[in-house]
Amino acid sequence: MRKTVLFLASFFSLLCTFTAYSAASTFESSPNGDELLSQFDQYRGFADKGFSFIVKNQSHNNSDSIKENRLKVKVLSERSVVSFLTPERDKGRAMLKEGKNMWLYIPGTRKVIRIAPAQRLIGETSNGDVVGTTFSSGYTVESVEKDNVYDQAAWRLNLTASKEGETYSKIALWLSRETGNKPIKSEFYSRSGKLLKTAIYESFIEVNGVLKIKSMKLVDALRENKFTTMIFSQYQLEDLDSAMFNKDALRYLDF
Amino acid sequence: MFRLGLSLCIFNIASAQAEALLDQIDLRQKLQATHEVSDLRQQTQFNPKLFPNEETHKQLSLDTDAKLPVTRNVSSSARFALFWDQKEQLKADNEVTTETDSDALLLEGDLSFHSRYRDKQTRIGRINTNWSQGFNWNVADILKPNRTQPSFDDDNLRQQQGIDMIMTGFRQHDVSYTFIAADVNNDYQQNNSPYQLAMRMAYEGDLDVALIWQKLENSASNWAFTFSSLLTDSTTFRIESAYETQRKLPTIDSLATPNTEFDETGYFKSVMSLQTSMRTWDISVEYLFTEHGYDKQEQNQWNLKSAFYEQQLNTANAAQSYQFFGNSSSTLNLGQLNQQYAYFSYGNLRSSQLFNWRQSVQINLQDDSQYHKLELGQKWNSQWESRLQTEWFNGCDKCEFGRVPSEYTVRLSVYLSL
Repeated sequence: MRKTVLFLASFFSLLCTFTAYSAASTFESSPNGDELLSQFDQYRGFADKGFSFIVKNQSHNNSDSIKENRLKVKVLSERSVVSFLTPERDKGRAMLKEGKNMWLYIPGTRKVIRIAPAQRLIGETSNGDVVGTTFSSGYTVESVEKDNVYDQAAWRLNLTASKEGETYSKIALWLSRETGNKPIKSEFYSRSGKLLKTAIYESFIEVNGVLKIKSMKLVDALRENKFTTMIFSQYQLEDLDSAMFNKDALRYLDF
Repeated sequence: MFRLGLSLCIFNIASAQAEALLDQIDLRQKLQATHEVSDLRQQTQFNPKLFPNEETHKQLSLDTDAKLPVTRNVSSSARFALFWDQKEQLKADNEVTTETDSDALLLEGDLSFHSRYRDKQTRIGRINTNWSQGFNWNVADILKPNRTQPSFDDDNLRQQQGIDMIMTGFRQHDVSYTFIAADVNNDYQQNNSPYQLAMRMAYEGDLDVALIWQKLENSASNWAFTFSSLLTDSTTFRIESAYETQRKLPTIDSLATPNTEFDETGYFKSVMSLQTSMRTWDISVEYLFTEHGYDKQEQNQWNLKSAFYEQQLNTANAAQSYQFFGNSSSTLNLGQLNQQYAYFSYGNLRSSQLFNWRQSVQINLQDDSQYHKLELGQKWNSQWESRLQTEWFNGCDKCEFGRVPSEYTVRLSVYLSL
């Protein structure tokens, strides 16, 4: 009888150990994709809090010339306003995004016109790249898989647009398994499945104790020597009100 | 000594205050130089060698746009332009006359009382409303309907002049309400109303909708409607319609009289637009229908009258003939002369590549005449830009664009943003 009890106890402890080990290895092989995505979002935003940042877009071409613009972006949840600080000829321009809708204010004509998210501001940077600070609001995680990228062990998240009007139909996002799920790169795909461009997350900066993306490189899918570098600075939390995100206020952005 | 010290102290305080004030001004200035040369038609249907035509036009202008926050809830803004123009006109006897002129114009200027985020505000002064969202035709700008006719010209700052008005408005979530009492633009040749009232209700969201009501004294109400939405992530769609009591073009019978007359039986105008954006290229298509324009029957009547008055030029009816041709030539500046038009343009103006390109064509679907435009732009650096523009007005002698005094124009514009 004692032997039987000992056997059963040993069997159950072995079973528990095996189950725990299996659970642990299962957890590592497929972590929660939504959690990984919200971790990624923290690298560009402050969740539901209002915040602002400056982004400098430098477009590099085959030629030596570098085209550059500087924008100030204010974000509150799915709403954002962008003010063009440079070049001088674009100063005064402003852009509003509410979900998938975007409007551009042109100071010379005083017109506020609806624009498409896919329109490009400079080089490889589309309107959606600048104001689309998070992925989780517009994309869902289809799958998470182990991968290696740039000699780093990574999670590959396959995202699909959860609603119409998102800038891209599919996104593949790689997060480093070696450095706390830090973003490594993203690939952006059209509806037809064609690779449009690749974003490489190059450097990070600590803001209020949290890491934010400092610079990322957007590379054209067809011509790799054509790329745009987005350099982010002056991330700060701001007490923003949803009332400021409207077309009539675009002319009066107090930047 | 004490006085001198006090004066210096006051001067220092005043200059410090002036400096602080200057720091707060949000200033945007643009210097623009244009030179346009036209290849003129020797004779057109409405100008049988009677009136001079502009052969060259040089313009230097400075556009200054300033915004100044006075307090947290009060701000002011002003936009004024200085012009220097030199025009060479070719007379019927091939003599060329040169006119030089300089001008200063207050395009806009207002004092604004508003809440922190401008969801409630009242503005008093000269204001440019610009409610239209069209590319080539701005149907919904019924407050100043002739601002952009016959077509919008990027270089013509005079088209940017606002109207003196009191405007008050508020916003509730995504709906905004605007109320206006304004001066009347003298484009309403037949209406001598001293003021106009207008109201605009707009919803902003997935479907952008606005309804505009306007009323002039002694006239029925005018209405306009705008709609825009996103079809795909790269395509936008818009519709604008307006119903106006007074016709924009005069009655054909009144063209030979000193005072042209305008029918007031209600006229509908609508434009439908589609714009799709590719990597750096935008393609825009528009269709315009306007009851303000002359239909085929009226057009035939106009043609018959022009043939008749041309024969009368050397008779006792010469004065009436001059009147007819003078008024008919002025009508060319009042907008679309017929009822159906199409517009197509493609361009890569957003591209950072060397040289930007935009080509457009406006077709009168009633007489098949066309207005072609080609623009070649270059952003040399963050401040300097240039644009070379050519226009070609093509069509038969009795067609809308065949009657334009210029057959070809070439314009070089250079811009310096300060």
